[in-house]
Amino acid sequence: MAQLREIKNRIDSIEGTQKITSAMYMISTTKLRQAKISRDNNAVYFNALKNMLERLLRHLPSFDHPYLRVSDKPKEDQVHAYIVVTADRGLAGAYNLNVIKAADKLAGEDGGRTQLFVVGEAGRRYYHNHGVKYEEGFVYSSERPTHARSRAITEIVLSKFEDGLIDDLKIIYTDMKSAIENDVRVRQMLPLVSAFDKMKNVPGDIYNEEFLLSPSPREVLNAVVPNYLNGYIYSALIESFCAEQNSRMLAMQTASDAAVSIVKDLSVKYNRARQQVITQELTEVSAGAEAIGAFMD
Amino acid sequence: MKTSHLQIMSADGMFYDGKMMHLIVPATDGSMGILPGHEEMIIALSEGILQYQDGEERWFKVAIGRGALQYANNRCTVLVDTAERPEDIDVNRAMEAKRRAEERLREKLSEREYRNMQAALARALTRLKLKSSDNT
Repeated sequence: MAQLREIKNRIDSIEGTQKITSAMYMISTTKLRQAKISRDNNAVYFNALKNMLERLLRHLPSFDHPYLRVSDKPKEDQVHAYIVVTADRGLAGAYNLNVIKAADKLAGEDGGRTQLFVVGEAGRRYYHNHGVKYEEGFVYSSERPTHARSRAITEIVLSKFEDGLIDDLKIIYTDMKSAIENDVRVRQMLPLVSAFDKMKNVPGDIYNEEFLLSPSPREVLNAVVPNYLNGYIYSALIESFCAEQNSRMLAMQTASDAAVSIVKDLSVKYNRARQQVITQELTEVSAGAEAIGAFMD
Repeated sequence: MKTSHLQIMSADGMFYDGKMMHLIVPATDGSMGILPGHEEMIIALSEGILQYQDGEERWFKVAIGRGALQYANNRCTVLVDTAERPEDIDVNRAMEAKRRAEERLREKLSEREYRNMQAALARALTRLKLKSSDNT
């Protein structure tokens, strides 16, 4: 009897878990649908912005601007900054770990000193537990990205770059490649020259014939670059958020499926055990009756 | 009348996509009028009111945030972080933002914070200006 109750309890508990996982699946589906809408709205703007910046850099006369300056510090003194986009929560398969692994690998390759700007609670918890230093005041959530948030992030990293506290800036995020596949991406954001390496070969002194940059190339860069960075960070956040929901959907789907199969196995076991108990009781009753019958005779 | 194509895009997506006969934008060094067939250029825009005349010669006003304008091949692309029509502007919110920015500007701020607050104030004032000119 004890075994019977044990199995029953396990079935109940697994069914409870299954309810939670399927609810989480549903939540992720809704969030993904909403996030995809903002992603598509943003894509138009961001692509146009990227084209404009490419055109701008192509037509830029060779001149000095903080956003274009490559650091001349010795390699071991350079501070490499990374924006690492993780989720706020776990239970999303390998989503968080993949980003963190990519960041670790990149920091190892770049050498020098590292400064981490971690978006999302899960990433911060990971670095905290592993004793890795990260920017303490930088506490941004990755849930439902907004322009206000990406603007605040842009503001922080851009001011650090302008003040010379960091020498370059990369962003590590997850791209939702398809409904079943996520891809961790790394993009250099600052300085711009390396971000648009192929532009270097184009001679810079032809701008006057083709494009008027008003009031001055510097002013135009000042206006376009922060918007571009903000657009890029927002895109990365929204893309990662989509990927996160997608990972969670998959993870929860797998968990729900596993729950169904465990419950199936357990109910077979439960029925068998119940049958056994009945058989045993029957045997006992009939054996008892026989014993009594034998006594009566 | 000659027309050219105008696209106004903000971070929330496409704002206007159609014909343009006349465009007045707030450049960083003052207002600037653009007619179809303009020289190719990229200019920086500051917070302010953008006005355009569509294919049917109707004028529209839009409150825009910072950004840039590109004119190439008779196509005009305006990329700004925010774009709002008068009817979408919430006066109370803009008033609140203005009050907050003015309050912060009186505090001791770093140069960067000061610039940010000034930008916020400019955004709020633009919204209020557009809204009040819409009512008259």
